[in-house]
Amino acid sequence: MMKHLDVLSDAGLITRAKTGRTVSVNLSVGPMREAMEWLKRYERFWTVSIDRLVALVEEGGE
Amino acid sequence: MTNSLPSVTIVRRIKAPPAKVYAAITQPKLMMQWWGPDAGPTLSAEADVRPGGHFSVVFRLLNGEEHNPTGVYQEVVPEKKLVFTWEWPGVPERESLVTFLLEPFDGGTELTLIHEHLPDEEARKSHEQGWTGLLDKLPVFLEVFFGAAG
Repeated sequence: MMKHLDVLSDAGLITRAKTGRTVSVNLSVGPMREAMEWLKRYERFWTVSIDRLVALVEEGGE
Repeated sequence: MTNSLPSVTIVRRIKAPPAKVYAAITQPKLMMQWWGPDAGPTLSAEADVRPGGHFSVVFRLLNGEEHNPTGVYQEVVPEKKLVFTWEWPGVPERESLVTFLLEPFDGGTELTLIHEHLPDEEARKSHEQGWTGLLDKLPVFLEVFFGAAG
């Protein structure tokens, strides 16, 4: 459990704060949103480009 | 840290031999016919296909915006593998890495495209620090986190 939190914390996806005996964990949506936008952008870019690449090399084949 | 960076992988089986697919991804004249995220035109393509050589493509989207991704070829294995870095000029964004893999498949080609988001220098440093110091820091970390009882 702690290890998983470390990974999320290193990735900047959560922040942790300790008050007395209580540790509060907060989700940081910023980096996650950034990653999602990156994924969406490139998924779209390559899906469309590769569709066109396939059409180009498959049409009028040998 | 590296694992948290997103990547896109696309696999397609194409009814054309690897030589033809490789030509389409490396020859500017052919690159101009497919490179771009919508039906807008590709305005220019330059490709100095050798390790250390540059590529630059300009495309215009249907909404009129023009974009110019550029990069440097890292690995060039004709008809098999093409690896290049990718960046947008003037955009303070992390550099990323694109890999095309071509495998002969059933008379055609299986194409695998991987676009990875490389960590920037800051992320690399914090990642390195995080892991190299981990074993030393772990006992201290546990104590701080769980108190003396931990």
